Amino acid sequence: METALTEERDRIEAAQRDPARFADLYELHFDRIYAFVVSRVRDRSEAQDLTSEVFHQALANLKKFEWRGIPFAAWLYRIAANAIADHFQRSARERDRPVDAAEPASEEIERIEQRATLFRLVESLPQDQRRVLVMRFAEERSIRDIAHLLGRSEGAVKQLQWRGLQTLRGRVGQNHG
Amino acid sequence: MAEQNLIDRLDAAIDAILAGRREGLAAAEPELAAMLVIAGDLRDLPDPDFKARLKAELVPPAVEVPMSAVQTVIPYLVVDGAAELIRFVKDAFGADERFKVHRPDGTVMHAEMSIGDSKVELADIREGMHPFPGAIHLYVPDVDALYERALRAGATSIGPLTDQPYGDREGSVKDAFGNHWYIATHQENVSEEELMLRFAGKGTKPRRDPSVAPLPEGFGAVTPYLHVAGAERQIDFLSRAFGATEVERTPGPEGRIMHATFRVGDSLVELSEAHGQWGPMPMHFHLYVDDADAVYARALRAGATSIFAPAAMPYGEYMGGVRDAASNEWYIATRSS
Repeated sequence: METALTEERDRIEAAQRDPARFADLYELHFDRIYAFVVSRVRDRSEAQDLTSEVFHQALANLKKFEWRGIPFAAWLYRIAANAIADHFQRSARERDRPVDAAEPASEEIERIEQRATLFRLVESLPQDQRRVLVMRFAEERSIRDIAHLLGRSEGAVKQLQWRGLQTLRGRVGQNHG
Repeated sequence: MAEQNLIDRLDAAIDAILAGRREGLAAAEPELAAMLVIAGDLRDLPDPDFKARLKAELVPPAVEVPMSAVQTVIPYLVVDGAAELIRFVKDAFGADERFKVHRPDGTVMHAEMSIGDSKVELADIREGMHPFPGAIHLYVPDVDALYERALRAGATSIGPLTDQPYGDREGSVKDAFGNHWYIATHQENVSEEELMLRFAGKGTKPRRDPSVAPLPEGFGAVTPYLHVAGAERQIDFLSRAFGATEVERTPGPEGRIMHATFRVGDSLVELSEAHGQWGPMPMHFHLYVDDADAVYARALRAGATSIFAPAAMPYGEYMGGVRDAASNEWYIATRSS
C-alpha cells in the first residue's frame, strides 16, 4: 500500500512537471472513471462526453492538485461527480430524470472498481475473443455482422463470445478471490 | 450438444441485455447466470477507439517518423468515414495503424497505416470538401487469400482473380469509399516480346513459376496507380516536377499508354490512360523531398497550381501543396525534425 501511494505520488509529480506524462495517469484511471460516469448517465455518448470532460479538467487543474495522501482516484471521482451534477442541471429542463450527482459512496466505489477491473480484463483476453466482445458490446454489433466482418461463421463467433465470457468469469473469480 | 444449447441461450440472453431487457436471468443455470452477470456489466464496456482518441486529445503523441523506411511517395486517401476505412484496411489487408490524430469533432485529421513494407495515409474530408479515393496496386505473397479476405471485409469485386498476361495473378476490389485495390502476386517474369505475343493472342499461356518472388523487383507492397486522362502529359509533369524516371512503358491500342511505371525518389508510381470503367481518378499524395521549397517551385514551373506555399507545419514538417493539370494534389514536405 505504501509503495502504491509512493508510485502514485511520483506519477502525479511527473505529470505536473511534464503534461506528456499524464498518459500514465490516464491509463491507470480511465476505466474506473468511465465505469462511474456510465453507471450514472446510462448513455454511451453522454458517458463519453462526460469522461472526456473529467480528464480534460483534471489535466488543466493538475498543477493545483496537492498531494495529501488522498488517492488521485478520489480527486477524479469528485471532478466526475461535479461534471455529472452540471450535466443534470443543464439537461433537467429538457428531461425529467432522477438526479444522482453525489460523489460515490464506498459500496458504490467497490462496484465501480469491479467493473473497471472487468473492462481491463477484456484487454487481456486472447485477441480473437477480445475482438468479438468489443464488437458485440462496445460497438453493439450483431453476431451476423461480426461474423461477416471477421470472415467466420456465426457459430464460430458465438463460440468465441462464449469462450471470452468464460475466460472473464474465471479471471474475475481470481481477481476477487 | 448440451454446450451448443448453452452457447445459443447465452447469445439470446445477450441480445436481450443489449436491447435493455434483463428477463430470464434468474432462471438460468449457475454457469450461465454468472456469465450473464458479466455480460450485463459489459454492456457498458468503453469503446477502445474512444479511449485511444481521448488519450491522443489529452496527450498528443510525440511527433516522430513512424517508420524507419523512407517512402518518397505516399498515397493519401481522403474519404468521408476514415475510421471505417481504417477498420477495412485492417480487416482486409492486415494493415497496422502507425499513427492517428483526430480533429476536435472526432473525425480523423491524419492517419498512417502500414501494409507490408509500405505506408498509406488517410484522412476524413474537411467540411465542404469532396472525397478523393485512390487506386492502389498491392503486391502480396498470396493474392487468392487476400482477395477473398478483402471481399469478406466488405469490398466488392471489380475484377475476378485472373492470371494476367504480364505475369501477375491479380484480383481487383473496390471498398465502400470508392478506393480501388489491385491485389496481385507476381508469378512469372514475362519478356516484352512475349507480352506482345500474348496480347496478340499468340504467346504462351500465363503460368506460375515457383522460382519467382511474389513482389516484382523494385516494388514494395503498395504502389499508387494513377488513371489519368492525358497520360503523356502526366508523365511529362512527373518528370519535370519531381524528376521521375521511366521504369517501364507498355503501349496499347492506338498508341495510348496501357501501363507505365515511373520512379520518384525511392518509390514507384504506376499510371495508365483512363478508359472505360477505369476513368480518371485524381489522387492525393504526400511527397517527401530534401528541399520542399525547390520541388514546390519546380512543380509550379511544370504547370501545377499552388494550393499553399511551403510553411512550417505544427507536426514537424515543412510543407507546401500543389495541384497538377489532372487534379492530383501533391503535398510536398521536408521533415524538419
